[in-house]
Amino acid sequence: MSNDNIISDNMNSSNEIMSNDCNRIYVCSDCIEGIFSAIYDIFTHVSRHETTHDNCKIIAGEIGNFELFSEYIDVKTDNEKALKVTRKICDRFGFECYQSFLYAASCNDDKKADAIYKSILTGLRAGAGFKLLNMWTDKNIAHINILSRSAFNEFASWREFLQFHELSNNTLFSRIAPKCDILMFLSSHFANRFPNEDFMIYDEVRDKYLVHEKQKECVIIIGNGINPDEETYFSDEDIKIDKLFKIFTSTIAIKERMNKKLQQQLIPLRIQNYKIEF
Amino acid sequence: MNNLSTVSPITHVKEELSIYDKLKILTDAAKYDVACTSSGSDRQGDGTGIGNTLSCGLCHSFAADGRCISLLKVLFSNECIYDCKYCINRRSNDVRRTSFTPLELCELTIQFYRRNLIEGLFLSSGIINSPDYTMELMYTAINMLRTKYRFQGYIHVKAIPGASQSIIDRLGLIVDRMSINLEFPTGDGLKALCPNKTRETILKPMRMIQNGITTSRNEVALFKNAPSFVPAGQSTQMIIGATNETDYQIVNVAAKLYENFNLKRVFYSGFVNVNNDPSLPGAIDDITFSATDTDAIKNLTLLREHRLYQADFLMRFYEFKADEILSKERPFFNTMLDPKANWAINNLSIFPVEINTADKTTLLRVPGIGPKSVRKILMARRLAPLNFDTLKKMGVVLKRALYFITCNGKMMYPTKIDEDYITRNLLNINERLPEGVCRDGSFYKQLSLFETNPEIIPKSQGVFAS
Repeated sequence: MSNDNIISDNMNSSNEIMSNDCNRIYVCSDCIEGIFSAIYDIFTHVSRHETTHDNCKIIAGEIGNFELFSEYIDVKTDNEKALKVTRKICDRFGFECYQSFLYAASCNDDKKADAIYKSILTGLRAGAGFKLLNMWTDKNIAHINILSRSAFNEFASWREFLQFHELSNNTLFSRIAPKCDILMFLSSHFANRFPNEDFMIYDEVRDKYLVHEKQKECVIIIGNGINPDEETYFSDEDIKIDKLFKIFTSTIAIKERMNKKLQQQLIPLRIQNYKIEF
Repeated sequence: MNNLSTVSPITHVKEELSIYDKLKILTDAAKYDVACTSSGSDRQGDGTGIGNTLSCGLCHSFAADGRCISLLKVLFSNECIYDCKYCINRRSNDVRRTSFTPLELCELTIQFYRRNLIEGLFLSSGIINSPDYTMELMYTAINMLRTKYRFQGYIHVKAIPGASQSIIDRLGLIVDRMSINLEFPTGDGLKALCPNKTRETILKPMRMIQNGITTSRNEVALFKNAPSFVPAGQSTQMIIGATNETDYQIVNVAAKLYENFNLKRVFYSGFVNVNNDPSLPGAIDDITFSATDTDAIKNLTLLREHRLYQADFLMRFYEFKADEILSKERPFFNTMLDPKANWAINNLSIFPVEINTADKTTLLRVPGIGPKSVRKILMARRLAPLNFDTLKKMGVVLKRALYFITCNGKMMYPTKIDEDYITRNLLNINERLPEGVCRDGSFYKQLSLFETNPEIIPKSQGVFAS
């Protein structure tokens, strides 16, 4: 009996040694709340057990390749933890930095969660403050800047090229297929622009709806796989306006200056499919 | 002043046109006005109406000629009592004439706007009865849009030459941008081609708008809720290629306009001979040039327009002066190189510059580095010294910049600071020039199997010989 205890005690202590040396990989859900929850968990663990950040890593979404000598820890998305981390980031690094993290997190990139975590770490260690994102020489911060710029460009394109159609119940409906998850960025822009309209924006790639009712806040709803076939529901007025806009766009071009290649360069083909004049 | 007895003998039949026809005619009539940005005004919606504006301006589509479609660009009416030689709407042209009603215009604008097809309205007009009468009609329509429809998006209105102070004052309070076209850089060009317009009728309203903007800014500085007059500023347009001014003259006029009238933008419109008027270049019946030559001339005019925009940006964002871009001895742009690279090649004595220590003005002179990159470099180098890898991530175009910069004392590749070597390498980066323009500056015609004596114009007689 006492031998069993000794053996099990030894096994426990060797487990502890292993978990101190091996990598700790936190796997969270692919959203900013998930990433911030993981960051909260890591900082809590490091301060509680007085270990180091050096062997910690975050992966958002699916795990690509499993690594040897690593412990995988599932992170439960907790809005309160995410809120605490948000407040801390805004206090220490400023709102612009927080916005860049949001943009970076909306991209489809394997390393984004880890880059956010490591950037925060670098910022805290170096005491960078509001100048965190100016540290282009750090590879994680440079990566965040590049992702954030690419997500912002995608958002800016769809903000310009997205087109609404009026359904027979006067609701405005639009389909988009963005490379990044930009619905939340579109919400503040269009809610201010059309406060007295009912509108919906459907993200085909992620099956999500942004819904806005007159004079109310925007809501994001996860779709249920039903692809709306809205052509049957267009109002008569909408068909007339479509025709007028096609007349307008085709007449405004100066035929002596035709340049289809330039037009395609400025509006990529993948977006042209969502516009009525093409 | 407006002698209606000189109106064209062709009687205009007042037919009731459908909204589709009206839109087609009045869009076609407005398309040569290139000033179509929606930038300069930053205004959030107040929740009671529809619309807001963003100071960067948004571009909702691009036309088949590659130009941005940002605003609903139409004429209120294409009836006109003036007879400007270059204009498609001149009174001696036999074109279908029509006008919008204020209600039609407002409905069109609002319906397009709420579908996110446009950023706002760009309204110009042919002149009916008199400049003030026409502007009153435009005021009625725009006022209805702002008050009845509570439209808070972008409105750009064209002032008519000869308009009076009172209508400009009233209109300026309800629009974002007001502009008036200079048309030609010199008074002689204007006199020859626009018999009804004078420099005075154009510059006087420009001055009125400028004074209104200054007064309004001072008032807003004191009382935050004071009404804003033309918040997005003033712009103007010049036609390029219809008269024989040099590029140096045009760039100087633009610089003076920015300085003396505080303009936000100057636009350049490559001339298209829509009326086939023999007194203007590029008419199809002109026996001096064949059809392929006309094409080549058109391409050269477009290249010239492109170079003028590049020079315009250099003056506004890169701290260049007009005399640095061109001079009396070299009054035309280099066809092969853009003005910034051209300046750099002619001033190789200041290069290479060290990225980690050079000041802002010098950094702005490096080809491949723009104002955004300069801002990033200045902020990043305070925290750590920069290398070429970091510069590439920041967005510096190293393909162009590498000949002119060092990082920590070293150039990216061993480069001799030699005019010919650098020029050859910069040209290899392939800026696309239009057909008919050779890399060495000469001007060629497409040979045909059916021509017995093909003529080749030597380089020294090329259009941009320098």
